[in-house]
Amino acid sequence: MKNVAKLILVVASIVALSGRARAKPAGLLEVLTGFSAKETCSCAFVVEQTDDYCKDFGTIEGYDVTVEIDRTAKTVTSQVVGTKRTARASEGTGCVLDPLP
Amino acid sequence: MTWTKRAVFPALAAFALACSSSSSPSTPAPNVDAGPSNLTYDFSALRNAMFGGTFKTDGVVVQHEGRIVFEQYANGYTADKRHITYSVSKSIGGTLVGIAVGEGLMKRADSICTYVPAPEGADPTFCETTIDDLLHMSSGLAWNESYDDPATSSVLPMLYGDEADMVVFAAKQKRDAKAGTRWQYSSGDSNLLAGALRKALGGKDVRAWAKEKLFDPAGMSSVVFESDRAGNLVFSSSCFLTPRDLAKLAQVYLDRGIASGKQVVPADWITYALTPAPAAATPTPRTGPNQGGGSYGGQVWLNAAKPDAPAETWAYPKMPVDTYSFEGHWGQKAFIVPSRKLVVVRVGNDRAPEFDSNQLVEPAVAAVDAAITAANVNGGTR
Repeated sequence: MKNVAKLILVVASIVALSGRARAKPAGLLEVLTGFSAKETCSCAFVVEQTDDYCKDFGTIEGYDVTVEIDRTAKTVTSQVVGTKRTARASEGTGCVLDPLP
Repeated sequence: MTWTKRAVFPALAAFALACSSSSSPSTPAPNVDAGPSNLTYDFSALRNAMFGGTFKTDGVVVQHEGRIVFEQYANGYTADKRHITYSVSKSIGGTLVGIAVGEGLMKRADSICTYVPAPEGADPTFCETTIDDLLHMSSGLAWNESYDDPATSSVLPMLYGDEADMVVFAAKQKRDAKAGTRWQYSSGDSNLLAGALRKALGGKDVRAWAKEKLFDPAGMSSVVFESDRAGNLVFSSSCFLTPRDLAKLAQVYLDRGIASGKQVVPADWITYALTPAPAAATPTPRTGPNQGGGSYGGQVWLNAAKPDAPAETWAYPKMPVDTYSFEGHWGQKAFIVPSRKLVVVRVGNDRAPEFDSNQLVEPAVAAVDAAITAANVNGGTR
């Protein structure tokens, strides 16, 4: 399993460095940022854990994902090498990912 | 039958950061109820197993005979804080389908197309799949529950890609087995059930209906069930609730569908949910710890395919054979042990290694057995 993870990391790096990351819908980077944004959002606004806890929960080792939690707007935005995803929370219904731009 | 059990995000978990939060236990919460008056429990072994090791346990609730007899939290969690449940959501969603079936809003024998029309691009045989097949994880639709590679995984793009409608995504999968003939764990099957229930309710708000029919009667006030952008509840993995509320749902199962004296879930649906799927009814040996063995009913895991199944075919050899469970990724668990009138809920944040559920239920059963034995020795009436 770890070998597979390393392979994914290498492939993702190559794809990202080649500037082709956005050319692959539902690719690794979209999934990674989608996971990070959605799960961090749920952690922050449904579970109501702390920012530090939730950023840790929504982070994947090996990826320099930037996570921003906006407590006022109730959104979480995750970004990695040019791919950005946002999830937003609503009272009683939890978090949903925004469409890709 | 062979499956990689309870797998949600194993590959990402393999390279996920170790959680930085401490797993040191908080001050034990006072028991809500000390249990039956003539029983004294010693849960120190359970406490040590769950909070003293390397696993990241966030909370444990043990109920015996309907009363909370042990409860403890860690890592900032409390009795009032919701927790993610991941695939435990499948069992909650399945229960809602069971209520709808009981009310005549759905029939298990119905084609999925009675509720979810075949979308453009669906397999020509899509409509051969029934609600029964979906409840049994036997749709026959191709599905890759793997989290190794977004390019080949079915579940990753469904949950975290740009899919607005997860029901349509699941409905577009090609058939690679005849409906009802192959057991294959599929988050797509569960989300198709969510779409079917939504249609069966004929425009009613699904959350409001679920609150009225199940969550309020069972006293589950903390439930938040997330949806996709199209408004379908994400039965596969997105229900949040407190461990106490999860224990309440487990108690409803233990009590054959009754909550607060009312038949909330049809008793015959409980029987159905706890009966192995036809494609998963043959006892097969475990292939490793937490791998293989056991069986699967109606969106519920079963420790054994039948009561006299050989122990090497049980999912969990250190649990009573009659144990069944709702289970989700990263250590979300609710075990029901009818022979002990016992419910054991555990929530956590296990990335790696995988949490061994035997370490949860075995000491809980031992504590209950010891308490009953002691009561009998002391002249009790149990």
